[in-house]
Formats: sequence, C-alpha cells, structure tokens
Amino acid sequence: MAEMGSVFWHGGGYMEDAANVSGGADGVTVTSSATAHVKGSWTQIDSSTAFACAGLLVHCSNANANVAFAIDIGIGAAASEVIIFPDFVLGAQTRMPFGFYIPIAIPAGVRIAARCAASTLSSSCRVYCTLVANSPLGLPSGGQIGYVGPAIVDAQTYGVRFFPGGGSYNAYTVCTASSAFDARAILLNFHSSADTAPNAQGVQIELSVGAAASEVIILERITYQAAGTADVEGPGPSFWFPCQIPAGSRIAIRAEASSVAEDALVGVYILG
Amino acid sequence: MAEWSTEFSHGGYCRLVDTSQLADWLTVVASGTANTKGSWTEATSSLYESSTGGLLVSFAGVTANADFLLDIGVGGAGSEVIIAENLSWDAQNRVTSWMHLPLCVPSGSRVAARVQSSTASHSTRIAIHGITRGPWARPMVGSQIVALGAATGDSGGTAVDAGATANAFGAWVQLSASTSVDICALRIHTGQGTNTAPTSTGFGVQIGLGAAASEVVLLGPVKFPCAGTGDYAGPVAPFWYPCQIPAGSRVAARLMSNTADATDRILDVTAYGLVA
Repeated sequence: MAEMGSVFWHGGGYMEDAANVSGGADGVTVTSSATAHVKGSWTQIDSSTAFACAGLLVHCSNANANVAFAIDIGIGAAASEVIIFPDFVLGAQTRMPFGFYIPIAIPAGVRIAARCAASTLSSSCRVYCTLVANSPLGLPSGGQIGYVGPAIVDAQTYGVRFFPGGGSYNAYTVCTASSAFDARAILLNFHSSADTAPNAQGVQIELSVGAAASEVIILERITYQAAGTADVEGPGPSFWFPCQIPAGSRIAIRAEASSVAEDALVGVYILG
Repeated sequence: MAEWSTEFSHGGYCRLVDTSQLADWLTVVASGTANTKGSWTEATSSLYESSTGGLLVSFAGVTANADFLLDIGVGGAGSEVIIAENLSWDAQNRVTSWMHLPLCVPSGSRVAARVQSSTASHSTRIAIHGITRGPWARPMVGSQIVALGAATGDSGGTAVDAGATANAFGAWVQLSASTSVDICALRIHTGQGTNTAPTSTGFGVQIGLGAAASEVVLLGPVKFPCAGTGDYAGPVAPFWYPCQIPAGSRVAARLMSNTADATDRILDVTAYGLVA
C-alpha cells in the first residue's frame, strides 16, 4: 500500500452520530420560543460526547414551510451552555437540508445542545449532529465562531438581507462595520428572504473587506442559483474559505442576479 | 492583531476559473443518448492561477427530476484527462449543489467539463471556482478523485435500501468490489434516485470496508434529512473525511431511515475517494 498523502494528514479517523448511535434515523427536534424571534429553550443533542472530537458535522432541516430559523449550537451543562456556533440561519423550504462543519474541538464527556429562534412562534426545526474524531483534510480546529450580520431581530427573515441587481452589481451591503475578532476562515449560507417564489436565475456574490469605497474583494463571484419554485436559493457551499481578516475590519457583500433584482439572504460566519 | 498559527495560510482568494463568466453559469449539455457522456465544454482555456486550495464546483439542473454525472478534466481539447469522475447530483430545478475538489490544478491549465444525464440532451449549469490558498494551508495532496458506486447506466448512484424496519440499518450494499487505487479521504453523496416525491424522512448512512458479511464500519452513521417536497434527499454535507483505504478494498454502504416506505427508504449512494 502506498504511503497515504502528506505528513499533514491524519491516518484514518472516526465519526459517529452524536445523539445516539443506536437511536432512530431522524434528527432532534428543536422548538423556538412562543414569542417570534426569541430563542427557545436549549434541547439536548448529546448528554455526553463519546470521544474527544476535532469538530461537529451538523445538518439542519426545517419542519415548517416559509419559516426562517436562527439556530445556536452550544456545549456545557444544562443552563450553563456556551455557544460554539451562533445564529445559523436556516431558510424556509420544508426540510431542505443544509449541512456544515463546526471546526471547534470538543473533549469527551461534554454535553451538546441546540436552541433556535424562528420568524413564526413555536416553530420546529431538526438538528442532526455527528462527532468527527479527526479533522477533515487535517484542518485544525478554531477557537471561536461568530455570526457577522445584523442582530437576529428582523421581522421576517434572518441573515444579511440584500437585493442583487439584475445584470449588474448593487452597492455593498455592510455585514459588520467592525468584526469582533481576528478571522481566518469564512462560511457562507445562502437562502431566500421573505420571497416565497424567487425567480429562477443565477446569482453571484462578492465578499469584501475594507472601508467604504475602498473594498478589497476576497471572495469573487461565488455563484449559486435561485430556484423558480418553492423558497429555495442556494444553499451555500458548506465550505470554510481561508482568509485573514483582522479584528475591527469592515466586511461587506454585494451581488448581481442574471436577470432581475432578487431578494436574498446570506448568513456570514467567521472562524477565529 | 493576533499572530496567526503557522498552520494557517496567509489569506486566501476565491474566484471563478472563467473570469468572464456571467451570472447565469456555464451550461453543459448531456449527450443525445441518455446515460452517455456528452462533449467536453471548456470552463477556462487557461487557469489564471494554480488552485492550491482546490476547486469549488457548484451544480444546478435546468430540468427537474433528472440525474447527472459530471466529469471534470484538464488538458487540451480532445485530450482531456479526467481529474474528478462521475460527480453525482439530482436535479431539483436549479437547487445548488456544491463540491470542494481538493486538487491542485496548475496555472495555465485548460479546464473542461462533460456530463451525462438520465434524460437525453438535458442541460445543467455549473460554476467552477479556483481557490488560491489551501484551506488552512494544508497542501492539497490529492491528484485525482475516483467515484465508488456511480451507476453510469442510469446516471445516478448505487441504490441502497434502508430495509423494512424503520430506524434500523438495512443490509450492506457494495459500492466497489475492489478499489483500483489507494484512497486517503472519502466523501459521501446521497440522492433520491428516481423517487420524484420523497416524504419527509431522516436518514443515517454508514460506509464499511471488508468482505461481504464481514464489513467493518469506517464512517458514520452520519444523519441527515430528506425534504418532503421537491427533490431533496439530502445531500450529506460535502465533507472530506481522512481515511486510509488501500487499493483492492471492498467498500460498501448501508442506510437506516425513519420510514419503512418501500420507495422512500431507498437512496442512491455514491462515495468519492481522494487519491494521493
């Protein structure tokens, strides 16, 4: 057998469902507060991680059509949860899945939980969580993840809301005027806004760093589609783009659509 | 500003390999014969910079309810060499699927794509982005991506039945009787095959190695949802997991589902192996 890869690679690994290997196939149902846009109670995903892991592979789905969610993933004892992934924004197509990796190391024996807010009170989503023993492709774990965008209090949807122009880029929409910590990777998730029937067309997004009118593009023309049916735009690439953004940076996005102006949302997350 | 870990790259950059590409993507058309690869379509005649961070490919169908298998190749017209074979996805109209290909393609390379579909002459749209720094500065050790379980006869994956008992794993189904090369990372893809109206379902998937009836679990279970509307059976997050699978290995998959419905409990499964 040939030597496997470079020395940077881990030799083999292990991953298993966080909740219960022998349990059912479905995810854990997490319900939002009885008040719209307010986080509900924490729901336990795993009482005690079976082994130390380099990160979590999370899939989320929506149990309600046309309801948007902001999901926190946390660790720690009940009532003492510490958020390791804040405000993951989930679009509104029923059970349209989205998966992403949380590159935060978690020791063995730690409790994992999730909670959510929703645009409609008492709505439910499902969270599927897999422990990953060794980091994918050897990527090291980070220390913290931050949501970059407006506070989750929008009346209809979650994420950075923007309107890609039809055939040309619109002006930048500011995600944050000043990022909270040094970032070394960015995760994007695209989904529709309150628009339940987005136009069937292509959308390209650019993410930049820098002062107004002096933006420097670091993600250029990331291309995704808006579906002509249902409430589907994207989803995002489930990929942590490498970057180097110092704390205090202004981060902005702009986009164009191939034919007509579109109402769209993007969740932007940075890894420190 | 904090000092960066030496394990991380100094910034990164991502853009389309075809810098002139419009927002509505590159259209790649399947052959006039179903389940047969069409002609190569050029994505770029000359890659602007080596993709030291790999390629990020997004797919979207133009027509609903068709299956596709996509090849990515490099080289001159008529001499393309496949670097990623039979990338599978199901075609809910314009829903975007993504795949990170951890392959370094040298600057100046011509990059092209071709596709087959379960329906003759179907079109798909793709966008290929080059990443100019490795994610996390890890070298892109891969040279090729091989498909395990791609079903070229129907442009999908290998049908895996979760079995008649809900929430219990079904039988192992072989994806490859004998891998042709050493594999150093694996990615799982799932699709709904020909099921055009799957119900809302949760799934768990495992990948195993070894002889029939003696499989040893390599990965999983990874649990994921299936949409109750449209054509959204998963997919599993596009996630490369490091492993060591020597050439000559038998690779199999099995599923569990929270439905025992004879149609909805079946998914297409394909695994992709990264070759060092």
